This record gives sequence, structure tokens and C-alpha cells, in this order.
Amino acid sequence: MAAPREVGAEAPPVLDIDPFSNEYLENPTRFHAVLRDAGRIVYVPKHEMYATGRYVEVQSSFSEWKNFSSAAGTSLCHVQKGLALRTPGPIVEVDPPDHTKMRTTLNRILSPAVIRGWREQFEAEAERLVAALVPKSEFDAVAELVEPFILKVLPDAMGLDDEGREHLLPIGDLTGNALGPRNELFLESERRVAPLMAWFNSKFERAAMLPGGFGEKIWQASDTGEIEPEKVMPLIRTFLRGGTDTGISGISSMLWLLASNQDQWSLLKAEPKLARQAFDEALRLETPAQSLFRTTRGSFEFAGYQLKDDVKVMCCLAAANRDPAKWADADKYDIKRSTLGHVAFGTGIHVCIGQMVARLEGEAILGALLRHTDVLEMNGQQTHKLSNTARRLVSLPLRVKSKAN
Amino acid sequence: MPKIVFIELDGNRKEVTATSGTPLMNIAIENDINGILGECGGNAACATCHVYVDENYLGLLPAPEPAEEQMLEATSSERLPNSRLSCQILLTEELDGIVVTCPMTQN
Repeated sequence: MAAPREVGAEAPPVLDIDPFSNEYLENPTRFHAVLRDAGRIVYVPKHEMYATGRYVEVQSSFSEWKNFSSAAGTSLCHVQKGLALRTPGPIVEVDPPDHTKMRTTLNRILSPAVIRGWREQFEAEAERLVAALVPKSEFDAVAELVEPFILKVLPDAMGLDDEGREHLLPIGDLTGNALGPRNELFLESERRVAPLMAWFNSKFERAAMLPGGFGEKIWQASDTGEIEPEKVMPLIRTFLRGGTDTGISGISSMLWLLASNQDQWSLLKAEPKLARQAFDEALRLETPAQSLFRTTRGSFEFAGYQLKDDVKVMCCLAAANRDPAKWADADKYDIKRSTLGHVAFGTGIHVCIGQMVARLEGEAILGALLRHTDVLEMNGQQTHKLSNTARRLVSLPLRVKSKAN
Repeated sequence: MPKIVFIELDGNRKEVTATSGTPLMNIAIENDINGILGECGGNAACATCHVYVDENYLGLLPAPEPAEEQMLEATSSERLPNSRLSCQILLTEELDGIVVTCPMTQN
């Protein structure tokens, strides 16, 4: 009997850069192009990881969960070895069959019907904020509109009280940095959050949940044995950490793209039912969670290359969403294009469970703006923050004006 | 190529052909069918590609997977015995001529 031959494809090409250096984080679109151009999948020695930014490969790595596991964490750091030993997240960082069971329960708790039931509250809050801002004519859309909106509607839906909600902003910042390496960005963000963790953790206690929220429903699922009690608090944490900064990012980017593409704002004014489309197209171009990570399980061939076992894979959703091989005129904000297949929410078994919440949030804000203003334009320069994996505006000066005034 | 008949939400009838193996939701989006959204991109995670399948073809479809079953419990328009998610129906030669009707609302 012949010994198994060491055959097969070659190792992926080497891309000798640091994707988490300021140079690339300040210019993500440039990084996306460098990554895509370097190959279908590449090896990045600096972080001992594979990386891919081509649409086809990102899409298939997310679909092939057996080869590309989530169980070693969806961060660059491996949760089972090295510096970052921690318990994997109870829904995001598990593979089937455990994942299937948990997801089934959560799909029920956060079903599209439940989310539709929140529409009235979300729209009322958007209406209240926008109606107060429009008479001012000039405002910062991130600090005065989007952040207050998300900090109101999401924790309300979950059933948190009002106290200290602003702490969710630095905690959201940490979430985006923690997915990447333990660089200065991460450490700084961790230092800022350290004094807030006691507050944060107290918010997941059963006694802290207001009646009627989905936090309470998750606790109730532990009474029936559907969810192990020790997983409840990490689950609630996952929703808050996963839903706050990404939600703020998506809506802010949409407003930025509309204000800086007046032809698209005019299209939308003429046809307000394009609002959800305007939101999804913004997510495609300015993907809030730019990259997520998987870990190879076993050695296998992928995209014509031989991959090694137990290596982290950076899946750059943002680069895939601008891949010219998939998207015509990929860098253009076009609210009439079909965004079908964009991967801003991921795809496959781990596809974002909060995506219908995000769409409702985006639609509520845009609906209120469309009702109250005819003009939506830039009033200065926008600012993004630096983050290892998040694309997040921190300032967006806008000018609005109603014809009625 | 097999033919699909979409009844759009305004009652308009649109006949299109497509390659076998393609999900009906994708065919609907490509052909701009009025009444199918497919917001989650085919992951059975949003229930916005809900359709009513002609009884004559219903029996030819594999039973819904648990994920689809859950979403069918949460559709915006009423779930009927012939309700399916069009993203979970792969076109086959056998389905040639299938008629699917769009519900009045998807979200």
C-alpha cells in the first residue's frame, strides 16, 4: 500500500502587509483592492492568517461552515490558544449541531413577526428626533440623530432601563477592535471600557430585564430548558454588542451617501419606497463589520490552493461587497441596483439574526427624514474613527431644509 | 429552460424562463417581479420572499426545512397551506410551468 502522497495544490500567495495598520484602516477601499488583487485567497505572515476579499471566496467560506469553523472564535485571536483564551460566544462562535439548536430558539424570539411589532415604536422615536432637529437646519447626524435613536430603540426592545446607555458606545467600539489583533487600537479601547464592565454585566441579570422585551424572552427560554441558563447572559450581551455599533454605522453611512450623492437623494425623494434599498446599498458599500474571521478545520483545497489546518481566515465582507467581478460600477452608490447577495450581514448559517431589526431602524430614520425635509446635504467634512474591523462614522455634519419653511 | 409564471401583487401575470437549479426568489429579483423582496439574500432568514404555490405543483416540492418552516410561521401576509419561501424552491425541469402568486405584503 502506497503512503498517501503529499500532493495537491500550492500554498496561497503571500501578502506581506498589515491590514490593521493605520495606513490601511484609514483607507479601507485601498486595502480591499490590494487584498482582492493579491489572489483568490492569500496568506498574511504578520498575523499568521489567510485572508480573502473576493466575492466568490468570501461567499463560499461563509457557506462551507464545516471547513471554515466559527468555533475557534470569529475574531483574529484563536479562543482556544494563545493570549485570548475565552469562552466562545454562545451563538456566533459555535458550529452545528449546537448552533442549530440555539439558532432555532432565537429565530423564534426574534422572528420577523416579532420585529414587525416594533415598527410603531421605532417610527415614533425617529419621528420625534427628526421633528426636533429639522428646525435647527444644521446638526451632526451621528451624535444628534443616529446614536440617540439606536440607544433608544434597541435597548428598549430588549427591555433595558435607561440608566447609563451611553456606555454602549465605547463598548461598541471595543467590539469592533476586539475582532482584530491586540494592537494599540484594541488596548486603548479596552482601557476605556474597563470601568464600564460592571455596569454592562449588571444589565443582563434577569432582575434587570423590563417586562415584554426580548431579553426577558431569552431568560424564559432557559426556564423551559431550551437555552442553558449559563448561556443567557452571554447571549444578551451578544445582541447588544453586535447590534449597537453596527446599527449606528449602517444608518450613518446611508445618510452620508445620500447627502453626498444628490442624484440618489432626488431619486429617493421622488420614490420613497426605495428607502430599504437605499439602506441595503449603503451596507454594501460601507459594510459596518468589514471583516469577520473563520478557522480552517482540517487541511483542504480551496480556490485552487491548499490550506492548512487550524489557521485563522480573515473574510473581508467589505471587499467582497465592492468586488468588481460581482458588482457593476462597484464603488458607485446606486439605490436602484439589485443588492441581492451582498454579504454585509454575512451569509449561510450564521447570517445576521438582527438584520430585519437593522432594516427597520434604517427605514424608520429615512422615512422620518423624507417626511420632514426636502434638502439633505453635507455641511462640512465627515469623520470616521479608526477601528480594526468596524467602518464607523463619528461625525456627519448635515444641513436639512423643508420647503414648507 | 423551465418556465415560471409569477402572479404579481397587482394580479399581473408574468411568464419567465430560467436555468434549472436557480432559486425562484433569485429569478423573481432578476425579473423585477412586483411582490417578492428576498431581503436576506436567500438565507431563509427574513420571510420576504413568501409566495403561494399552485396546488398542482405543491406536491412536487420537497418539504420545508426547519428554518423555512419557522419563517413561514412569521410571514407578513397570512400563511396558507400552499405557502412557501421562494428562496428555498430550486427550479427543476419537473417544475416547468409552475405558477406562484405573490402575497399582498412582505414586511
